[in-house]
Amino acid sequence: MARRERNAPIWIKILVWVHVIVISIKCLPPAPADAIGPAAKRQLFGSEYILYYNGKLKPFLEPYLWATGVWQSWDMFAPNPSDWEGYVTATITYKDGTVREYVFPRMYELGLGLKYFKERYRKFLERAHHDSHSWIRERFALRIAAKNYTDEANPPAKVELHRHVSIVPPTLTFGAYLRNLGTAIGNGNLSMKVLMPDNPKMPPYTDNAYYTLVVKERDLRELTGS
Amino acid sequence: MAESAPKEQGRFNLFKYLDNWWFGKGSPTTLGVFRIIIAGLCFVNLAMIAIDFTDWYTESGFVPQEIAQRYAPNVAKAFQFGEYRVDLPFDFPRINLLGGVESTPITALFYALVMAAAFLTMVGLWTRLSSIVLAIGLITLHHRNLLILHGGDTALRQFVILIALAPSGAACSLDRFIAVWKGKAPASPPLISLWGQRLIQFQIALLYFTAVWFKWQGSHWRDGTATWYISQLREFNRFPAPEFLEHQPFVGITTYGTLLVELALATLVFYRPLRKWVLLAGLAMHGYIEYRFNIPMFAFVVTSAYICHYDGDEITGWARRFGERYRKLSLKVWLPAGKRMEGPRADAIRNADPLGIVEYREGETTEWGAETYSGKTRNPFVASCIRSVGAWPIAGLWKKLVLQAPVEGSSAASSNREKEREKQPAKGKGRSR
Repeated sequence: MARRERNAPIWIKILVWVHVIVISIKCLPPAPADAIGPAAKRQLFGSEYILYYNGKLKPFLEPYLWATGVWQSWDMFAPNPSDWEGYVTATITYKDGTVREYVFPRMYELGLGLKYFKERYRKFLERAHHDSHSWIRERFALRIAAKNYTDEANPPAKVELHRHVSIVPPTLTFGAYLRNLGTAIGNGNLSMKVLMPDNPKMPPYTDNAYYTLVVKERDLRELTGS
Repeated sequence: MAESAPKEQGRFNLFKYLDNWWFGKGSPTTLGVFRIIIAGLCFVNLAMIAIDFTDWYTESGFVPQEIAQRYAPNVAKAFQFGEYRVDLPFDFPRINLLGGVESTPITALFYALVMAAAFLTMVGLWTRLSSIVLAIGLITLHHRNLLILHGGDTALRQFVILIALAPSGAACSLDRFIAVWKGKAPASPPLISLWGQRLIQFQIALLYFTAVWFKWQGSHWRDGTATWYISQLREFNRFPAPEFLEHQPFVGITTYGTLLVELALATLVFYRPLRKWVLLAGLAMHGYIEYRFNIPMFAFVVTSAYICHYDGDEITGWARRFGERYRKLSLKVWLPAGKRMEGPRADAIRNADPLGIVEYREGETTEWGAETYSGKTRNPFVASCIRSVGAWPIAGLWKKLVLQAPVEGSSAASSNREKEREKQPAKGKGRSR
């Protein structure tokens, strides 16, 4: 009997299948937090069991994922989009007492072309401002001081970071919209307000000073190489 | 087209079907085109980030080594098997050639090397080496600074790794042009096992499927208000959109529409009758996101993988049909009398014209000439280069190559030689893996 030619070597087939299985396990979301752990408020349901047992396998995959660079997670705007609209400024007090405001690159205020190139600043801030990464703040403030160190005789002495935050208010859900629409049609008082209801207004930004760095001149000179 | 799985005894064999779908042989053209696009996008992405190189990759920036290494999660070395715990005596290494490197010149040189590798991978020169350097370089840069990465970077990294592993230089590459020119490869690219292309298809389907599953866990995606929140994040603002899109019912339509399109891109896209419509819906969705929101490169990276849902033969067919439809772009190049386009060099020259709109014919004069569809004369070298997409990376050498391609002799003698050649098996090293 003639030997059938392989379409690909066995070792490639094995590697492909292992890779497919590993990244599939990695990419599946975790089980809902309110259904697992000692503080669970409810039982797992249906496909959530798959997520629960899948989650137990994930730690074993980390060496493969991180060593090869194939780690991945597709939780963009998930489980919910952020409702945190904000930016950071710094109040820089110089040695001679003068005060200057610095705005960490804010996409909203940049031109259409420039913001496309500077988006990394927004992404960095999304992670760096977070309370869970408070250890980044010292370096963040020091770098801002370095960026504003223009006169050797008058270095920044203090940097105060401010978060300006506006939380996006909830709007009418789609289900509520349909119910209102049905009621209005039933009552014969359909109007533009029902067809296209108003949205809540964004609240004004709140200003919160969340970190202060007393700048050591030695650190500043080391950073700027002066 | 991938060879169809044989049915054994009239019954559908799932294992054979899957084996053939994943590993069956087909045209490498799709991978080649995808390689060009993704490496080009990688080059552009790196160039954009390079503008703020000091802030992101130096010790005086926002993310020095100390911050970068603290932020990057430890690779697990302790594993729990039920009641038993295993502690390995070492940390698993992470690909990061810049780990601990604090020198700005070295980091900058490395960065430039990765950009060079992206360019070489795009044009397909030393493809295997350049794509591997690109993959390792990009993984290193990502591990050097995780804080500035978004979903588009993650997708880009997966694709770059896959084109490094797969035979992505087997078509649409300078490597292939050179091999055909030297007579070491046949005019038509040899069939390759399509596992690389299938992995890209699987990767994009997995991306969308798990994205939907993640989103469905969120209350805002379920209640139809998710896109309202995104539209209010001013930091994402780009071009304006009509205001009515930010009110119900359009918020609900765009929220549920996003989920449906993403789910279709993970499932229905594999069903050929619906493939085109699903991909068009994906392009529309990503096109709107690219227009409305400032998420650089993400839409381009993700949608570039859509091409992998098409076989290489289909792409070649499109190119030819495009050339036939736009006949007015065609060009006749007249060779000097007594010369004809034949042999491996001629094959390489013709292969550089995927649209098939340049025709090389024996002339009657001693000079080279060219004539467009409408009868206008043109410089044969410039005009043929413009119309041969594969010639663009070597535009500076094109005239020299075209001059060297023809062989001596009349067409009557050539047709006898053609017949003799057709009887012989094709030579060359076309590797297929």
